[in-house]
Parts: sequence; structure tokens; C-alpha cells
Amino acid sequence: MSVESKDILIGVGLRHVHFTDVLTQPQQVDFVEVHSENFFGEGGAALSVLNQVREKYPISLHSTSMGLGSEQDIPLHYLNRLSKLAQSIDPFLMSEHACFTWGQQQGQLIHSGDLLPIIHTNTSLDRMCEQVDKVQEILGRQLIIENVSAYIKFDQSYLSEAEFLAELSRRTDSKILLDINNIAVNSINFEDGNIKQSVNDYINILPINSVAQIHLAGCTTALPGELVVDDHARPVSDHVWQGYEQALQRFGKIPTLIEWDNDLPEWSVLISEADKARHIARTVFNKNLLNQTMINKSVLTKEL
Amino acid sequence: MNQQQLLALIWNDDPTSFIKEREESGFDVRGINIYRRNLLANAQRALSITFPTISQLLDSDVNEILVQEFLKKYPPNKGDWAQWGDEFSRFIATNQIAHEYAYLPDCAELDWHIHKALNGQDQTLDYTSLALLASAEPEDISIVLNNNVALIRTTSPISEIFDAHHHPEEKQREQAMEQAKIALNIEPKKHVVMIFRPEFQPKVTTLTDSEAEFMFCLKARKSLAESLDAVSHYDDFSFDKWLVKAIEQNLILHFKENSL
Repeated sequence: MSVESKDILIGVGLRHVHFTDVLTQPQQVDFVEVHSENFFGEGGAALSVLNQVREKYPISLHSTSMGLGSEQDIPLHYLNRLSKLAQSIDPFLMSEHACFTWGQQQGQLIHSGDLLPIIHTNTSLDRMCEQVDKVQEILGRQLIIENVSAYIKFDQSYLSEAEFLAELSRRTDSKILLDINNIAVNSINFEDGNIKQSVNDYINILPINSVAQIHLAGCTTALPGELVVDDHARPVSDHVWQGYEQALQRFGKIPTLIEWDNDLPEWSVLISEADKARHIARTVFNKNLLNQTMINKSVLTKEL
Repeated sequence: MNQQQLLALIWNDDPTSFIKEREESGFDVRGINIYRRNLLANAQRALSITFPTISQLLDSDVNEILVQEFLKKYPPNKGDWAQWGDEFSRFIATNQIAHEYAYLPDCAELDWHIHKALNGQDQTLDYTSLALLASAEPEDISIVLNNNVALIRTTSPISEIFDAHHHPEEKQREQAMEQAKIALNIEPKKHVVMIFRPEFQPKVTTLTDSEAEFMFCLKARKSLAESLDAVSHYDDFSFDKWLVKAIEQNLILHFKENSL
């Protein structure tokens, strides 16, 4: 499914508790995003609901288990399930994270059940390029790859995550999913916590046409001396909204998603977060339009 | 440090070697602990969703130590927490907890089959295949069951325990709880519990001995004639009545001619 719009597309993450709301209430967002693995069943009510949602909204499939940066190969059973789901749902976007998830324990394949950070070097970049190429070939679709929140740092990394993703995108023809909150979490945990600066540094490394989606989320504030955990359990913070404006100014009208995965609020709260994103986007683009008009007028005046 | 070492550190459940390995890794202990807590919390949540009866029996949550041991022994390997838990019933059976509560392993098996049926392929009877009953001999016919049908042999009142926790009506839950308590205080009796999925919601029922034997024959892909022979010594089995009920319960996928 392809979705075209002159306006910016704003969506929300859809979880089970909101199934009734999304099906019974009038369309309030432009798309919904679901976690692919939640629909890996062969059938049943959840898949049936997803098919009904699909009639009403474009769907973005967001995977959380693929582990594109794993040294271990992604098992075919996983890719086959994902491919089957993609064929039946025909999402307009498909995304994953720049992390690793697969490994071995006592000779047995294991899945980490979490988005584990990777070292950012040319070797790990080669490995991820290989996996992304393979997955895109199997799926027959372009992947959008997301920056992650990390809770440990690797001394061996000599590329920044932004440089890593920019190069990955260039070499594999994949796109980037820019998660502003993940930049904010890493900024607080590993940098000086100047989120505006961290977002600015990050986005300026990414080529203008490389970003295909933006994620916005909120998380619980850490206790003093503790690291922030990206729990997706709060409204989007002011810092993240500000980072969103910066990203829109650089990348333009990029489809944007509000993520909320824990302590889920009422559907109406999610919608109001989406409305806020739309308002910010319109303000940014109206301002840009106004600036452009003023520049054009001044050029005309000079020429006259 | 490579990915294997990081995984080993996160999965390490031995406090002494963990401290040593963590120090050698140079990673911030707060970060490693976040990954360790996430792993345990995700696993605990997954088991509580897949095994809701066990979760309630163990006081609303599956015990952390139990989860940790299960994670270590049977780590997830599908990339989907919902597909993790196939061995949970057997694991519980070998755990100390089963000595105190002997019905837990069978309750876990029931939860697992319900969970699988919930996400199983949507299947309904191919009505055209019913015509075989008129055109072929019973020895040439097999009944292929719906994939969402499962049978559990047990001596525990697992169907009553399940209803006591999940029946939508409170009165039925109370009644089921009373029946379960009575059954747990008398001599255990072997019986068979069936899981089936008429539409989207899986159901649980206790089968009569004759129904159970007939269903096990069908599961073993025996011919209709052999299956009927196996229950011929029961007075209470009627194929006609079974068939009507089986269609209502969506037990049958299709009738198949054996020679084909």
C-alpha cells in the first residue's frame, strides 16, 4: 500500500487495549503502527482485528525482534513469519531497529527479548548491511531502520550512531527512522543532557532524504544517579517536542508516530498527542512557507 | 566484548561470576542491570499472558525465581514472546512447586493449548466433504480434526480450576471453585479435557470416556470404522449425536477418503 499526502502524516502506535476504539471511532489519525510480532499467529481474533483496521487505516509494521545487527544470522523461521504478515497486511512502511537480538547459549539459538546495542565500527556496519540487504530481498520491500536507546556504551565504537545509520542507508538503500526520544535518552544517559544540541548534532549528520519516519515518545524521569529507561510510558516531553521541530525543519514532512507502550492511556490521550504533533508540524511548515513568501517578495522587490 | 559475551552477562544468574564478568567488561553496572531487569520483566509478563491460570494460582504473577530458572533452561528462540512456553508444563512438573500443587503442570498445559488455539489458524468444516458419509464405507473414511483441537489426559480438575478463574460469570466461577475444591479432596480420577475453538474464543470441556477414546482415535488418524469399533463397548456413544456436537463445536476440518 502506498500513501500519498500533501500534508504531513501523523499516526499512533496501536495496542490491543485500543482495538475497539480504533474500529468504532471516526478516523482521527492518518495511520496506525503495530508491532509485527504481536501478529505472528496463524489466525485468531488479533489478526482478524488487524485486517479490519487495515480497511480503515494505512498500517505501518514495526518489528522489534529482527536484530539486524546480530552477529548470528536472523533465523529463517522469523523472516518467513514476517514476510507472510507483510504480504497479507501490505503495510505502507516497515521498520526495525539498529540493534542485535540473536545469539547463542550453550550452542543453542537464543533471542535476547530486548533491543541490545551494537558496536559502531566498519565491521559491524558491513555485517548490518549484509543483513539489511538480505531482509529487503526476502521481503521485497525497503526497510526503515531506527536509532535505539542504549544503556551501555562500547569503547570500541569509532563511528557515531548517526554516521553508522547514514552510511547504512546509503549502502543498502534503506531509510532511517528517527526516534527523537531515543536521542534524548542517550543524551541524558551518556552526554551532557543538552537534548537540543544532541538532536541538532544527530540530525545534521543524516542526509536530508534519508529519513522516512519519525518516532515520538515519552519516558519516566530517572531517580538521581540512575539511568533513564526508555519505557514509553509517559506523554512526549517538551524536549522531544522541541527536537521534533528541529527534525521537521531539516527533513520536511516526514510521517510521524506517537509511541506509547506501557501504562497505556485512553485512546483520546493518544489522539491528543497526535493532534499536538500535527499542530507543531503545521506551525513549522506555515512558518517556513511564510519565510519563503517573504524571501520571494524581497527578491521580486529588488528585481523591480 | 562481543555480542555473545554481552548476552552471557545479561543472562548470568550466578551472582559471584556476574560481579567478576561485569567488572571485566567495564560496562556501567546500572546499564547492565537495566537489561537484566528488562529480560526478567518481559519474560514474566509473557508467561503471565500465556499462562493466565498459573499466574492467578501463583498469586497474580509468575514467581521471579521460577521465571529465571525457566529462562535459563528453555531460553526463547523465536523472536516472539507469545511463542515461548511450550516446555513450561514439563518444567513445572520437575519443580518443587509441583510437589505442593500437583495440578499445576496440567493447568499449565491447558493454558498453553488455549493460548495456541487462540492464535491458531482459522479453520472451519469443509461441508462438502460430509457427502463422503453417504458415498464411502466407514473403513475408507478418516475425520481430520481442526488444528485448534487439543486433548489432555489428567487426574486433576483442570477444567474446573480454569473456569474458577476465567468464566465470565461470577456465579459460575464460584461454582467451579467449589467443584475444584471437592475434586481435589477425593480420589483422583483419570479423565480427558478437550480444548476447541468454535469461533475466536477457545473453549474447554471435559469429555466422557467414550468421547475421549473416539477423539484419540481420530487424532491418531484411524479410520472411522476403527474409531467406531474402539467405542463399540460403550453404551453412551452415538456417532450421530457426536457428529452434530462436533459440527457445533467446530471440531472437524474435513472428511477424507483413505484411498485418496
